[in-house]
Amino acid sequence: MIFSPSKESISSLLNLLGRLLCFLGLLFLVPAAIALFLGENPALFDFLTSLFITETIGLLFLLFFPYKQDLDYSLAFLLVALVWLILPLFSALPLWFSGHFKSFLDAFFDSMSGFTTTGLSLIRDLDHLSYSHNFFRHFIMFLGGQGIIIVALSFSQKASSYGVGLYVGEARQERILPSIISTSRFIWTVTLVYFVIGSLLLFLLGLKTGLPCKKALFHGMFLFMAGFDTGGFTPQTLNLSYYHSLSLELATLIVMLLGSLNFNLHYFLWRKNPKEILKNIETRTFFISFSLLFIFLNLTLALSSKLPLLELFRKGLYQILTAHTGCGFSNLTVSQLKSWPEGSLVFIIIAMALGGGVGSTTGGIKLMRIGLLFKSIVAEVKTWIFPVQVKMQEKYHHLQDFLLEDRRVKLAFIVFFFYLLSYLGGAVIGVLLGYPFLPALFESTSASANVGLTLGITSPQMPVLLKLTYIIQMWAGRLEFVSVVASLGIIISLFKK
Amino acid sequence: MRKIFLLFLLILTNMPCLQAGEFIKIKELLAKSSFWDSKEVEVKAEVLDVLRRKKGSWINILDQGVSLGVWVPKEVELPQIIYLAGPEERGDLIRIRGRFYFNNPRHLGQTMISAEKISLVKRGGKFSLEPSLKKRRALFLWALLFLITGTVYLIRNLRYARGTSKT
Repeated sequence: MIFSPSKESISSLLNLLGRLLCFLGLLFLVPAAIALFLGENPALFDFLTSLFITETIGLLFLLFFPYKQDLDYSLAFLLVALVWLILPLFSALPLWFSGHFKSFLDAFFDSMSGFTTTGLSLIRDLDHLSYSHNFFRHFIMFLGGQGIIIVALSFSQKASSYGVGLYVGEARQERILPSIISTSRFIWTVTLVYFVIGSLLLFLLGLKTGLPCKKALFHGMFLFMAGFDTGGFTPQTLNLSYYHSLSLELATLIVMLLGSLNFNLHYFLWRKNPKEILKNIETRTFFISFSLLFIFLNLTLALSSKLPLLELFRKGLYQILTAHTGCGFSNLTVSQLKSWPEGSLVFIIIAMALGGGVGSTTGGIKLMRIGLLFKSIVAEVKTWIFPVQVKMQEKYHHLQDFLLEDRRVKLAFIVFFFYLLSYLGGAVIGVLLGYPFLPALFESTSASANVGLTLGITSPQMPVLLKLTYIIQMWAGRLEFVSVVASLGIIISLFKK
Repeated sequence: MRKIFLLFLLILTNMPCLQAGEFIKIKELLAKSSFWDSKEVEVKAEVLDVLRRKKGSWINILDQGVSLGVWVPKEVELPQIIYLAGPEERGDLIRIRGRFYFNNPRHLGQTMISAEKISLVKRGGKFSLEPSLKKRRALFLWALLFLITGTVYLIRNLRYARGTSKT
């Protein structure tokens, strides 16, 4: 039997989309206020025009599509998938109006990259971009990292029946507190506390590097937003090399590590048992994968580079961590990264592909799934070694002890398979468009795992087909394919009706 | 002999460093970094920032959308920089002569220029921060459309509210 939504539920879905558009429109007021405060008049006009366009379209949705009935679980997935396409589309408006993009598609690319916390960018002349536009780029990254639905749910007063669907559809499997709304609010509380502390620290370090006060303040905020939400946008083209500062590099490492942690672990760290971090399957998986990749990367670099060991250590550490946490900040220029041996690039690709914690702001396959798959392999090998009579049950620890069930392993494998397909699919398209395989795989993995590191393929000059491919990869990767696949099923059912 | 002459001509026309009187683009430096590594270069670029440190200053420069860091030791005289490239200003244009390093181990392994001489070429200036007529028109048009849609939406909601209160 194929599920097919009724006209009433489609109308309700579009109504909710209209409400979210109106909500987005109001969010334009934040960068508009900054533009007004700084006297950036052209930018102010860009944000106000975008606000009126978004509000008008949102209101038209509300007028033509009344809310008739609550959405069921599967339609919530379609709503999430649509929201994550349409909100970046409207957020591309002020970016496009700024005149820093070659086409609207490029502005949409950056907007999608921002919302999905990827960090790949097609912007031109970034160094002359207004503070308010730059703030907006990092602001959408911040919202996207937390989850657009999480933002909307935090403002809602009562839970709706489809709230869980929206929450899960946005690639969040776990609740921290009993209700979705309280969980959303907890996530925001954690983030805002870190935001104040992190931005202040980065502001002070910015002052120490020699930045003027205004610039240090904005750069502190920008770097925090992009670091904690593992986004990777930077306010200047030189990326982290702009600051020529080791202490700032170290501070951003801490920020991105915090962002890559599961919010449940933050909860345990804050309120319950900090020792959970040492026992958790995700942190253990991270420690093992990070250590192995770091050692192998440094070995390949040491064998081929004449740089002093300390320099290799610093560069290797930063690249592996920025790739593993999905942040995408870099203390290297694109030319420097390109000059690295192919073997070391493979380790960075693996780190990007793995990703950070489930229920964090990172992308990629995620540590929990890698841990579960690894444990299931170990369990299987044990059955080969030990006698048939010996029955073993593998366990893992994530906030509490769990038995390793086939259902969980199967789910982990499905998502793993989709990511693998996406990484390779994007690389094949890149190769077909004339790029060598390894850089194409690097860029495709970076887009799909929402990392943002680049070997220079991503540029305004790249083919339109590749831009579209990366947009789809960023979108599907951020939603962990669940909402996208479910939505495709619903759309097919509409045609079969 | 002819072959040697042709080879000499080829080298002469293709070696950018031998093209007299021309500044090297930062893009070119980065694209052919292994060629330029540890060589004397001369660039002309806009100043993005001057970050002062104990033993000198870091100047970030911008040329055709590509930027690079320049280390200026205390011994090298730095001209007075007034305008920095940013949203409001076109930065001062400076000429830098120095040595290009692809991975400088003395400075965190950065790609950079170690400056030997810096001079001011052209003073930068302020950008106009007035919105264009096109932007003004677009804002007016969409504000009007928003007002109309908003009014229709409000009227419809008021009618609906009255209808439900009667029943």
